[in-house]
Amino acid sequence: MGTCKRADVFTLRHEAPAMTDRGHASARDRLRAAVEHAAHVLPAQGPIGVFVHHNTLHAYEDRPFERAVVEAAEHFGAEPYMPEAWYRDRLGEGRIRPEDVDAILQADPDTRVRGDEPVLGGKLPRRGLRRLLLLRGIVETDDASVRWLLEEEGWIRRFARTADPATTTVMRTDTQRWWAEVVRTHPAPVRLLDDPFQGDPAAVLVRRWLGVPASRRGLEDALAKDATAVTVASLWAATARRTFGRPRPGTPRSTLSVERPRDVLLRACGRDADAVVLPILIPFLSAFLDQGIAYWPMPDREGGLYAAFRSLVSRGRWVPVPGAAELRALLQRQAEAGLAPEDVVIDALEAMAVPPERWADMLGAVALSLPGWAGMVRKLEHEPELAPHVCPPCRLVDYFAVRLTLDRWAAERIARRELAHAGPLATLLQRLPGPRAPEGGTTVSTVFAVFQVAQLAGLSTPAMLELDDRDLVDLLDELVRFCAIERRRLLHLAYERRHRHEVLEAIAVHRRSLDPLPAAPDPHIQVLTCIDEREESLRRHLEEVDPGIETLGTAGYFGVAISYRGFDDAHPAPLCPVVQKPGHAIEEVPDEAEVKTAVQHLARRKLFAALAWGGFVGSRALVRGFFATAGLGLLSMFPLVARVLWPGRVARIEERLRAGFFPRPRTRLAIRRKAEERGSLDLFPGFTPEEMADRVQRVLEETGLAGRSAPLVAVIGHGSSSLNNPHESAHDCGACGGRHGGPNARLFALMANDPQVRDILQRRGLVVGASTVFVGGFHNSCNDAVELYDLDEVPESHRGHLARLCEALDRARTLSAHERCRRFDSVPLDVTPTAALRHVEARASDLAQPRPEYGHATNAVCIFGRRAITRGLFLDRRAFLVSYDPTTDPDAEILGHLLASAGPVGAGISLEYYFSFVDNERYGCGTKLPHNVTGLIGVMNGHQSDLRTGLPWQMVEIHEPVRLLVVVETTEENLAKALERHRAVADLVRNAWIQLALVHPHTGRVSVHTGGRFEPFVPRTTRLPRVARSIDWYRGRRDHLPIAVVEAAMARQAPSLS
Amino acid sequence: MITFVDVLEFLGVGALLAPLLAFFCVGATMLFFRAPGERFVARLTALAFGLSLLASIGLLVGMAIHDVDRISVDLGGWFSVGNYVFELSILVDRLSLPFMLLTAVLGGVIGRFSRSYLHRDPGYPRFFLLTLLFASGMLIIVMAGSIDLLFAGWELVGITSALLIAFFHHREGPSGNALRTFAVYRTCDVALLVAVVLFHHHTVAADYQTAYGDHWPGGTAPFDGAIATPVGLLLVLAAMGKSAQVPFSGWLPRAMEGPTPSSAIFYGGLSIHAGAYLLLRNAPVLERAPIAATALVVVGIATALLATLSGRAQADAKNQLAYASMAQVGLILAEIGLGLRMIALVHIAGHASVRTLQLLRAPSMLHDFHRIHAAAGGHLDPTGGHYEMILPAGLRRRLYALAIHRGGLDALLDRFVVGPMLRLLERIDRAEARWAALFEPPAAPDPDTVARPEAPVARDGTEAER
Repeated sequence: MGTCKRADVFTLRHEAPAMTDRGHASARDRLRAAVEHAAHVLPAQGPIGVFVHHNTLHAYEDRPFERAVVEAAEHFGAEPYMPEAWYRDRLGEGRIRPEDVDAILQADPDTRVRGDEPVLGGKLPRRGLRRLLLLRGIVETDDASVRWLLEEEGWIRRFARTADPATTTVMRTDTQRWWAEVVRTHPAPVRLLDDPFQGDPAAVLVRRWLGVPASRRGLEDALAKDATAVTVASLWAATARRTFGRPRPGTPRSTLSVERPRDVLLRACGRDADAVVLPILIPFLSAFLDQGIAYWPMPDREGGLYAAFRSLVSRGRWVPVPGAAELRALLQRQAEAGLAPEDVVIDALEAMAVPPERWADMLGAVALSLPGWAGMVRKLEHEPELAPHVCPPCRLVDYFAVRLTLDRWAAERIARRELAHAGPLATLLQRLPGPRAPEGGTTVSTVFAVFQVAQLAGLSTPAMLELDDRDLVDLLDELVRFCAIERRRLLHLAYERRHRHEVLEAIAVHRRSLDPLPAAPDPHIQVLTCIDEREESLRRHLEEVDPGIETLGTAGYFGVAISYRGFDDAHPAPLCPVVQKPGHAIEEVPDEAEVKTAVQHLARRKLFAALAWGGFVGSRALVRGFFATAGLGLLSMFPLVARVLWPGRVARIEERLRAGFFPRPRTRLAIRRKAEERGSLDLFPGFTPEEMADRVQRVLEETGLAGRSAPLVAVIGHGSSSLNNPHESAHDCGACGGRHGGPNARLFALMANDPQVRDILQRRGLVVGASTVFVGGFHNSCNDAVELYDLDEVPESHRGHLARLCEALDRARTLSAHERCRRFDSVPLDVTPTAALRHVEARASDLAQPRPEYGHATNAVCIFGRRAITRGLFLDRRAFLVSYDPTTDPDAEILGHLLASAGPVGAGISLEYYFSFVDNERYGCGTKLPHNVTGLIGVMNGHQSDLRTGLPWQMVEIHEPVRLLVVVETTEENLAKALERHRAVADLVRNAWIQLALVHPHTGRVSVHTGGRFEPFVPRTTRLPRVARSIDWYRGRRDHLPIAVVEAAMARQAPSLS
Repeated sequence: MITFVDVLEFLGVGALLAPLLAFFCVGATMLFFRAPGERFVARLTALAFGLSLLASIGLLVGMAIHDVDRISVDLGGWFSVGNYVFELSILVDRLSLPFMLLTAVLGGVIGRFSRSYLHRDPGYPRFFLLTLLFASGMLIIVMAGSIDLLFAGWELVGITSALLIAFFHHREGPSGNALRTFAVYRTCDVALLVAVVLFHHHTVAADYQTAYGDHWPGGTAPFDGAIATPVGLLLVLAAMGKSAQVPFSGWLPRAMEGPTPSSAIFYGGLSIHAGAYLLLRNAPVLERAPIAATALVVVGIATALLATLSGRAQADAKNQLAYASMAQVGLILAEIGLGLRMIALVHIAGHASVRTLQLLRAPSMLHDFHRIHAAAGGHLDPTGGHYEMILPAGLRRRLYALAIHRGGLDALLDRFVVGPMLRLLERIDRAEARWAALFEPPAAPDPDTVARPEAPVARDGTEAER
């Protein structure tokens, strides 16, 4: 892996042609800046085989969340929040409560300033109107739909469903009384029904819809028969009379970004240039970036994207693509002029009449028209080592050269054929009209909005007719100022508030019930896992089934950043957070005693690979394909039927076969290194005792294990394996860079057991119990298998503890699998724990399973603190749990480290889920069902499309889109100290990309970060729901659950070893 | 007295009716009530394919034991026009049975697969509905006793294919590609229809049995070469569309837009082989028409070569499999043209199994590749090497350009068929507009333009007043 080094790429960069022209040099500088600007917003996802979660809007992190989502939404054409109707459904089911909306309005700066102003002629204060708009809501739609809604969906006959019945009753009486008055005072029956509205056409139309005859009798009959219909219809007529055709309130218009020629031409003549360009561009990019799917690799890739494209097109004389000759001619001209890709881009921009100051915008628009592919080119330009097998030289500017050449060619062709324009493209583009801004006054859609506001506020027909003009203008303004986006923002804040309150309330109440925090009894076994929220259930169940166990959480690479090569791996791979570079190489080697088995193992695996590869290639070839299909084809009926019908059983048989055919030798990790030894590539082979001690010390101190370690400490990494799932790696350990964390755990245990390391630690004043033994392990979060390493090295004295650990792990993983299954719709709620375990095992090996696990979909909270404050809380697999002991960290030194390492990771995961959920088509990659693996680097939709980035719907469908709520057990001062040293986290907090709350280490008081300071949080309740065991709380329920206290895990008496 | 043959006839009808009834059941529920639950749909599908499979196995065993060559059931006429009667007759023989078994097994496997794969998708019942209808259509094709009834199944397969390609109809790509596929189907269906008419024009025999005499793979065409050649050529043309042969092959990769299991059963498993079945069934005609048979061999070989060439440059899982499929089907058709009927039959069965499995596994490409790569010790034998040995560099690059553009077949079709057709239709449209304008008073402006500032609904309202 990473076979091609950065240096290779650099040497391939095109030398700038000898051009002394200073103007040109500056054009290139400007272009470089423009390319950088355009690249800035491209998705940062690398090849999908190693999926690293990151904030989808990382490029916007320099501004506050609430501003960033709106700006990005405009830029990408995406959604900033969920739709209003979605939040209103949450209101309906009590997930948001009216009190949350009130509190959010109370805190909203604009509402605080203007909330008391009377609106609608003094009918209610602005705050009240906003409250109605949030709680009850209006339907906003376009002009074309209004008439349908009125006539066909009955809006003209019935009050809005959201209107309050008490209000509408008053409105009906008002209107009846008013009509009676009109009838009484009207001079003649003629025009009786039109005069109140001064003959407004809307009134006439309404009468026709309602079928009311234009007479006094007719009106009286109608009122008697259906007063509601007359009331509502009159209101519509009155509203139309008052609001139609008024000057539009100034809509805050965005500075519309530059348009691509394709957009201009599409508007002008309805021909889509992309329909010609993309079928050429996408297969080309896919073949260019291919990592080995294609039988025939693209020739001339080593020259870079643009050179490969030119070579390909110039050889395409046999390809009957319409207009190919012109494209060839265009490229020929570029070649003859000796243009480097940069010059090609400049040339094309000039041909498209883009002034230099708009280059950045234009390139941004071009990049965002195919963001996935452009982003991949960009990613591989910067980190070619991410390419799993081969890395053709990628440069974004090459991509632009290809894309703009194609765009220009297609645009010129359309201009010539459709618009009979033979001259340069620039003159045509300048001539064609720009996008039309809406003109004229307000239209029926505005009337419809005001119509609904009147119903919510209880403004009946006479009041509407007599409403002061100023009030009316103010209302129209209000509908713009308090627009849908603004309402969605506030509803979202209310949605987050409810979640925050429930979590903090539970933490505060639980913490109070523990006051004073009992001194932790000495546990018999400690289990150190990753902070991952999916390990929460395993940890809780471990403590439930054996209260003598204490669990702790730390980043799942356990402080050892390594480049690891397993016995079965072809290449080493980095196992550490992506922001780090491993400095040490670790290799898994077979035991000396088992070299023979090892040799045999490797030989058989080679044979298997040759067969499998031969089958792969052969079955797709022509002649070999004939023999493979006609000769052996029917044999594949067996795996086909068996795998689909009995995935679990087939997986078990396969496992047994694998163990039989490929006997694996016992292995060990080569970890020791003499001080002076140095390997290749800046990697040290293994560690010296000092280096080991550094790493062990750091984790022991961070987790608070130092000085209080149990006789047996299990260190358990995690990862996930599933079939038919291109996003498999997204379920792996993020702290291990999207890979399995087992080797790190194994290595950590080996280091911590090392007598020399123990000595060094002791010399440094760090006490690790002499009798403490560490054991490494691996938890597969998909099938809930747990494996422990190097058990033969556990001394006899600890066998009892080990047996106890194994039993507890076995029961806990079964229960954890059971708890996971409640979230899967396809598993009946009354499944038994054993059946649940079998189910998740089958699920992991089921070809037909698009959601082998739900991954991080439940993430919502991250707690830094002692386990004592969360032990016994049912956190529903929703909380990252970072072990941190504030009592041993007076200077917040450790806290700073922890926040800096876990904070951005947690925020990245949470925000990626947020955006993929809020707009799954734009920010996520849509439904998995038609995904098509491309070039081993990503997925497309079906036959050909953009490279889809982000998370698929099946991964996020049960997510609650809230920003990560980070709860830290520390004081305000210490937090300030920690953030002072780590600006990245401080920025996340300041710009509110995460929510922050504190639990005081001594008093246990909770405070919440709002508007730059901490405010005390006062819980409303004093008791939490209590259950004996987790299963009693979750059994029979599918949805997210509130936090409860699980008593079994609270039992602090540690049963002695039996 | 129920005879053994009665039992077999009953099984034959049952094998066909099971998925058809399930389709009507799901369809009626969706039409008259509301979308049925996932479990109901999935169980019904499993039941339908299970029964169909059992019936087919029963037929196989029964016919083998009692040495029955064929079972034909006459279900009466559908309609009649003059002397012509549309016979609803089914035929189970050595050719239909393997196809029936394949349909039932692959249908059942896909049904089970989709039960998890489409879980929670809003289109779940629609997917199963279409899959059931497709399987029914496929069974009608392979069990039809006459080419007339085959045509009905042929159409069902075509329409369900298009609807499943457009399964994600809110997206542009799937809808466009479905339309394109459908257009190719319909064009080639015309050939089949004309072939049927010609067939009837020259023989009174309505069904295969009377037309071809002997049972499959024997039989002779009921007319001589002068008739057999056009009929044979038309049948070949029909098969070329359904089986994605040159020059119509452009639709097959485009068809990979639906959910993975539908791509698997249609373009790996069954639908793609429907053309081959048609030709196998009517092989006696080809035997009498050497020109048609030669054309078939040429088309098959050309497709196989071009598809292999194109497939080798494809860098994504599904397109690669689409071309691999196309190449083998090309070979199968060539085999039929050469009269190698049994080989073709075995080839079809083997190919359908391999390709269905491969397409279902397509999303595992990363996982599998990684595993093989690691097992091989980080080095896979490079592919494409012998091209480099055989071909000079310039030619190689030209071939690569041709391969990555998929032979440019779609462009050819667009240029020589679609383009002229569109231009003709546009001209007709304009002429019609001119003609119509002669007879019409100037059109009144649209009364519903409510967005006009001066009066939103005035015209409408005042007109109502008059």
